[in-house]
Amino acid sequence: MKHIVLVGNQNCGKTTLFNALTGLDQHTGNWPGVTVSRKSGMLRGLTEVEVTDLPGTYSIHPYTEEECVTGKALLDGGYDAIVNVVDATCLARGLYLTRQLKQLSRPVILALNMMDEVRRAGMHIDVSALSVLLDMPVIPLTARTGEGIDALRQAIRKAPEKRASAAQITPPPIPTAGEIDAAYRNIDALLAKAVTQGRQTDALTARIDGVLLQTPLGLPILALLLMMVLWLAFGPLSELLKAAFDALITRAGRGAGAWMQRSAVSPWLHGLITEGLLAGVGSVLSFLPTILLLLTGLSLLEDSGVMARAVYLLDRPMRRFGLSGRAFIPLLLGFGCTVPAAMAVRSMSGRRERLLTTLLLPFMSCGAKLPVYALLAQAFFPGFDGLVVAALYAGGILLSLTVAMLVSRWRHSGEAAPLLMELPAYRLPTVRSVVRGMWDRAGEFLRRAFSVILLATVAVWLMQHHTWRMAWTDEMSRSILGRLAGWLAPLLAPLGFGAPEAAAALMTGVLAKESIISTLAVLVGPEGIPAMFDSTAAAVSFLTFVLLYSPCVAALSAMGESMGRKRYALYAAFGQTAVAWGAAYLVYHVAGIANIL
Amino acid sequence: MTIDQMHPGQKGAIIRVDGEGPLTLRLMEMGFTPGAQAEVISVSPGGDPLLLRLRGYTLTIARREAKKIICQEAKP
Repeated sequence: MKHIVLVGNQNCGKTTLFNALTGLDQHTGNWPGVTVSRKSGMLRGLTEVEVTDLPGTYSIHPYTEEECVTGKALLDGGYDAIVNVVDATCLARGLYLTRQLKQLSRPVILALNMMDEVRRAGMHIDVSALSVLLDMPVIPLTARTGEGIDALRQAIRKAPEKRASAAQITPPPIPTAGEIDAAYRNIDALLAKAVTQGRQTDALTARIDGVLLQTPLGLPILALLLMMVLWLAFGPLSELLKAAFDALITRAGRGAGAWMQRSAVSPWLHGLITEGLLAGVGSVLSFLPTILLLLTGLSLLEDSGVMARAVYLLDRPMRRFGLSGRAFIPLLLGFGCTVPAAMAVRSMSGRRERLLTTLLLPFMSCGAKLPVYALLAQAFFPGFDGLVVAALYAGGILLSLTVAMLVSRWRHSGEAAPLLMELPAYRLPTVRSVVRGMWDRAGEFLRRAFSVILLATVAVWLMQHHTWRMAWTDEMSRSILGRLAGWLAPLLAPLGFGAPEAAAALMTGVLAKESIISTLAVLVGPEGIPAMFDSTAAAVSFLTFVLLYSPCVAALSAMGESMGRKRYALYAAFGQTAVAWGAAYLVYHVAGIANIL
Repeated sequence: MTIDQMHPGQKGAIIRVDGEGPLTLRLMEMGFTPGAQAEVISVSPGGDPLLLRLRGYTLTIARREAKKIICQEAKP
């Protein structure tokens, strides 16, 4: 089988091209560093070709951790040809990498991406001259619209199937300043022969940036955009969708229950399905619209190029906390899910900052915790539930800033790495890419709901109704779950929620945060959840604990990888739980003494 | 002069990048080589980082790094 690698600068549209070539959807963003680890797919229409998308890089000689992935993959061999993706609107910088790739003596195909923008800017590129001068096939295309993809597919098909091993590839030596200078002189001479420059800048991008980046309006506009995303996710539209979705799930559950009653299904199975599956998985499923809208909003910010501007605007303020503007992207993604957020950390340069950013991620309340907040806030603060949820999010952010400040004071080990980042042009995400993104995220959510969470709910239900000797029981205190939770509950009693059900839910929450609500739904029924708490103070204390305690296993594993040491993730889990205990204790007692709640 | 001394809207031709080490080489690899034209587009609130246009693309650069890039101001 033929193996092709996609290599190019950050933000040259490599991932979009990968999607167009393979038909697999992978998340693409309009800020540098979307592809953080290598991903592969089969070339659509040519099943015998495997395509691997490598993280963006400016040079074979890596500067950041994700660039190391690309450098290593290129030198390790095991591929037949390189497809070098270049943003045709800034050829010089792209061709610098092209020259380095050529030194590897492997076949290179040059994919000139973003030809639509080239035409719009009035630029002209003599493709055949470029091909002769570079001595490689050059394919003009626009990955976003699909223009030229077939031609690239043909070129890939023509590439010989001849693999080189690592031993056959000699790593080029690190260049000297003089060599880099010579390379660019060479490129400039070549471009003078093949390219007629047009109006240099993208007028629209320049105009928007003129307001966003050059006037004091930048930060307020950014804040407004973020609030719009939150409004999209939690506003009336989302509530309407959620209500409709809820009704659908309830009806399906009732229908299934009635059918089972009619056909005299054994009470054991009937219980497992209605109390276990339908209550548990159903309670998680009903939050699909909210989470989908939140993630879509975040990805719109990314894909349009707004996120990269946020990095620039926030660089200075974030340095006060020992971070750079770059940390903003993973932290914001953390509100969706900690796993992709931790992966995004790898595109940052500077080990210290990577470590600190990763440690702060769990403070950004992830989307899976949202159902718990929404449910309890609605029960205890009717009418003010939105405010309470917002306060929880704000509390997490404030605590993270405090931790960042303390860590950077305590370990006075230098500042965050300087910001050196390309600002992409603004691009309106296509409807197709937005819809596909939503479709994929919905698929991911459903997969989780019907795998990890389904297993967890079944396990919880079985453990709730069986003793250690596998005898049937209806008493929680005698069941496996009751016993396990019974050991943990006394530790949580000082926080105001000593019920074994709460302890059990928090335990399963470490598997996946969605399980907190599904476990509670299985144990006390969806309507019985608020009644578990004696007072409003206890409910708020529980919410505080959920906000802050150990991240789920998937998040911990991704965090361990981005920090470079697995055991750091373990420290994070314990540290985070200790902080949660302390904060919940404080909240419970302060609220109790002040009698405000 | 160095790039950090230029005002928004000012253009200059790079003469050289001072210093050594991976960051200096990375600056050159990103296109800060002798003769290349750079334009300061704006300065972030607080004075750092700077926004530059170089070789057909826009990038942000910290003032500390901009100080290392020697350039010749282009006559308007």
